[in-house]
Amino acid sequence: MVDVAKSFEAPIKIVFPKNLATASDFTLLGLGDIVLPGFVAACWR
Amino acid sequence: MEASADQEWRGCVCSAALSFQADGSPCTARRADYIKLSFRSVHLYAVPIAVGISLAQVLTSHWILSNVVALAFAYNAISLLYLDSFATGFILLGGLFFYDVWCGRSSCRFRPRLSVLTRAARRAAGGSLAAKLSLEQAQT
Repeated sequence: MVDVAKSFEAPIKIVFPKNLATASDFTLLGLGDIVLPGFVAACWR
Repeated sequence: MEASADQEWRGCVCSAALSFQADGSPCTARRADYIKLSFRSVHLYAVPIAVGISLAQVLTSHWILSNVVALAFAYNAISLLYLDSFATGFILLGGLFFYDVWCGRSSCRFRPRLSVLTRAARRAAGGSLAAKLSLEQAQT
């Protein structure tokens, strides 16, 4: 499943390298983990 | 375009004709508005920056540019919809919780980070062979 996300080359995820110098080993965060709490946070306005 | 700083230009695609009206009034009522575009003078600076970032992301696919584009998608999605009450939001988050729990154990291919959950659960299970086997059975 991670292989699916890594093979799919599109900006559908937030990535950050575990090693900033080489930028090799990336951690993933799905966009749904930003958008769905963002809906709840947008209720405060 | 000789728009002043606070003047807003609206354009409507009215029956396949792009018409600009300087006073911001909508198109005439008898013609259907298929697409409604509005241009402000901010867009003169913002659109080239956005096109440049998008082109750089397509050409290089650098991870920082991919993050910028992905955050733009997320911002668009948040601003597109809004919830009317907190109850809806809490129902949504609770449903997402149970979806994550259920989908992290079975083989769901649509959410990429779920096997991370499976791996974390397997690591937490440690040497417990029964938990490991049940997780692997649930995955296949």
